[in-house]
Amino acid sequence: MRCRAWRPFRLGAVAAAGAAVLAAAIPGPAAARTYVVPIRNMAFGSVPADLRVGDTIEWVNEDIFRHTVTATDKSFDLDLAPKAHATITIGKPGPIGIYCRYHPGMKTRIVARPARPRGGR
Amino acid sequence: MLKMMALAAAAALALPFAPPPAARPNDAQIAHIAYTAGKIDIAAGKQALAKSHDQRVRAFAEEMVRDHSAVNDQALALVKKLGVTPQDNPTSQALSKSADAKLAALAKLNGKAFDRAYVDNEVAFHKTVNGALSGTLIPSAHNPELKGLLQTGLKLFTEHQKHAEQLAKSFK
Repeated sequence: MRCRAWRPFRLGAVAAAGAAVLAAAIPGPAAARTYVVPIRNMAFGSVPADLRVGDTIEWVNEDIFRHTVTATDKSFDLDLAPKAHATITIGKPGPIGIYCRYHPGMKTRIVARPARPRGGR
Repeated sequence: MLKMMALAAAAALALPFAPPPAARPNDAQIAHIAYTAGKIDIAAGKQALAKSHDQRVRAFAEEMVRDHSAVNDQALALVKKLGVTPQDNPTSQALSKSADAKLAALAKLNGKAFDRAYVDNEVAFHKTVNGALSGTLIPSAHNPELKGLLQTGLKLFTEHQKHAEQLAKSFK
């Protein structure tokens, strides 16, 4: 399905583009990964267990309701119309609490570790 | 059944006479009750958007109109698909009468008094509807798709209740 409102997290998109350029310049497997986390039935789906700085999370709103993916530390705030998706790229290690501004009981937490060594796991 | 009566009784609080207790509702009545509850909250949200100047109250009201419209659109599509005609019933009627009285009472208030009364009523209304959904409507629903939609509705309305409670607390 075509999404009406694909709105990438701007900094994330820039970082992702930068990472892509870097990956093209340096041989070896790309270290950064992209994860997809659905938002379904008024809940955030499972978040990646091995999340690293430089990784990207694509949040996909599968609900019929508008949701936000909002960081408690204010580092990002995605507003997703029904069926829309958007990405963030992890910029720093550590935990970040996440909630939906419209439905404050919807919560999750991501924990990022330092970037994977290039070529390593 | 008890919850159904409780819902009817709660809805009838503003009325001089409580309606007779409803029997266990069928799917056509359940769809009607759920749709009516959504319609009531959409009307309340529109009233708040016309009257309130508080940004938080307006954002909440917009959320109510948006979310309840989404559920009701889904409900309409579902009953059409199932070939079910929503059936009016005493619970729907009690809900509507009570809501009309509340709208009229809120129409007389302005400013902070309106904001408080609107948000307090949203807490109470969502509590009542959630009790009815979990206690009566969901267990009574036969069609699995209707049951599923009601379960989604319960999750949504529970979030709305939390949001309304947060907002109500901020006024204290």
